[in-house]
Amino acid sequence: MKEYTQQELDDLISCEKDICDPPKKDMRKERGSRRNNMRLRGRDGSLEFSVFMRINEDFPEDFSIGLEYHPQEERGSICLLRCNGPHGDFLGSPIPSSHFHYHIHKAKSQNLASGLRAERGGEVTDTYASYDQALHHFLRVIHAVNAEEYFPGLQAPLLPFPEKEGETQS
Amino acid sequence: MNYLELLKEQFNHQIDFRERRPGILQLIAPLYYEDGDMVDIFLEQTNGRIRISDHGMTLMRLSYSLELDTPNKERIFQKILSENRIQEENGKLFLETDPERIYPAILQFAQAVGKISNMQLYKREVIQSLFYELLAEVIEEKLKRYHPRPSVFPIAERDDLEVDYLFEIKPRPIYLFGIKDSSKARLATISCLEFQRAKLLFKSFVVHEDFEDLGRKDRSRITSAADKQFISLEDFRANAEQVFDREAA
Repeated sequence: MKEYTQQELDDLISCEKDICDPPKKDMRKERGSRRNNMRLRGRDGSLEFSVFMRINEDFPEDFSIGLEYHPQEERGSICLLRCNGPHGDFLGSPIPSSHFHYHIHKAKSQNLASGLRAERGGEVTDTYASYDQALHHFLRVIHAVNAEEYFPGLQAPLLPFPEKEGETQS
Repeated sequence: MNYLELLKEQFNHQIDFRERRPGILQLIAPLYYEDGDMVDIFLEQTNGRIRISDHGMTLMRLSYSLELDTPNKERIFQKILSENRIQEENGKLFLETDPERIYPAILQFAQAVGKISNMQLYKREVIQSLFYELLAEVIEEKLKRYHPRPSVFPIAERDDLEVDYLFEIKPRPIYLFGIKDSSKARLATISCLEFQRAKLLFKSFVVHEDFEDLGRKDRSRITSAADKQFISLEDFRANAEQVFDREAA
């Protein structure tokens, strides 16, 4: 597998993307969760990504929104970013953890270099406190430029994209 | 001692419980997925028995990278369930056990969850690499008597034009290409045309992983350039011997 620097992974997360295969209007219920997907392409057309959106039916606070990168030169995909609900403990959670936390998994170059899953380990976030807020945050961080076409309810706060230092570090 | 205290003791006090809903406890145990998230295990007491459940989290997580959308994937999934005595209701996996048997039951449940999660390795894009290994197996099994030579460059000065297997069959050798995707289809097409332009005497055979998977233009180009195509590995496995026998007759 190609070796990625942290900067390259961060750039893949934050590069401007167009939604080329949009999500369904409504999430579909399937085997215990509500699901939606979409595909995105980097603006220069050479980078391919997919996004999954999942909400558990029994525990709607257990959700995950993830960005997968599909490198053209090799098989498989790399999970670059996942915004999760407070579904349980995770490596990286505060110890002792008195309650479950919203958290974000972000691809790390040292994980890949060690043969681990890129997104292993999470970081607690207070950037969002619901699925909708997480989706809003996620779309902003991954720079889904035409997101407002498909997520009209989230339109207003999405643009313009702020260039905050460490935007993906939350 | 109730079953929760018993379980804590059996886990050497390395676990905890959190109430997620009335009557539904989440087990906090050092059992993790590869991404570092804790395995989702819930406990409910029903009619004196304990239901160990995932409340749909296993299949939800699997669906990040793999959908159970083919009979083959579903068959493997069901086999993992049955071999671990796990039941499924609308995507929710569960195992019922007596309170005194909960410790081994939880370990078994967690093991099954791990196996199901590893089904992501069956992603087509991951296992595609097996195509060339399977092609090599079929050639070894069925065509060994034609002395296949792998990785041959028929034009010495062109190391970019490679034939996957050469069979020294008279009157014309067979150049065989395995094709699993459009980029290999284009390379095989170019190679055949260059070999023809160099006036080499040969017959070109192509084995596709899935001919229908290629785009229309790629199908047209390779069909025009190649002498014989097998539309799938199964087609090759079933018919290669008789086709080669006819060529050698």
